[in-house]
Amino acid sequence: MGKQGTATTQRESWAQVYCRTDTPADRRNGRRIAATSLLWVAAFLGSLMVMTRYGDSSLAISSAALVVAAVAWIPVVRSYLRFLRETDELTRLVQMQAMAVAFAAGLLAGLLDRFVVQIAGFLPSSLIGPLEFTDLFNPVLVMCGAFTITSLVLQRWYSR
Amino acid sequence: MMNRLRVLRAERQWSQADLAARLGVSRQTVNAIETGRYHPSLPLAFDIAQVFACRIEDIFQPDGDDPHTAP
Repeated sequence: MGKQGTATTQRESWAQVYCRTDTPADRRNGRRIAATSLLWVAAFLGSLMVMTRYGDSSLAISSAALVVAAVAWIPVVRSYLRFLRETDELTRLVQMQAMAVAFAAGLLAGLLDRFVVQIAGFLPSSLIGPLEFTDLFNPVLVMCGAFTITSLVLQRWYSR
Repeated sequence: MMNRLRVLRAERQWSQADLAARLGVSRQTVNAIETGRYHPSLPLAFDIAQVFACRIEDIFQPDGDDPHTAP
């Protein structure tokens, strides 16, 4: 292992920082998260289709679809918790810090939502365009965006 | 907190990836410890000491202006 090693500090690109710093456990757990996420997407889309087709006629079917979509989320959370438990400590710190920023950003977006709706009401429709301006402040979207950006920036910062 | 990780690694001609593999952490973690951006946990510090066959205090020393340093 150390034969051809050079004792230098390498500086990596963004892609290398995010894709090549993981340990074998991280790669294994990453695959597990991807698989459970795909299963959840399938369950969610299936539930959505069932609700669209039969939801109006039966409360039981709507409730069952809702439960399926919610229960399918549990393996995703469990696999992510396992990833956090088994990953190396710096990655865990980065994930925790990114989650804290994402939570704060999502909370702020949720609290400011009413203000944005009010402001959007005053804006001329030609300025807003066909897109819903207020959707940009959807707390879930803000949370996901903040988590991704923060984790990328932190990974890069710790790699410098 | 200052550390001699880079020096010890250079003496053995190990790359950061080599050391990371021996410690079971990512190369990024080794880099962050060397640059002082991240202080390792106690278990990882013990692992590092074991890999270099020396004591923790031979690798890590408190900074002069470290607020945790006793006056």
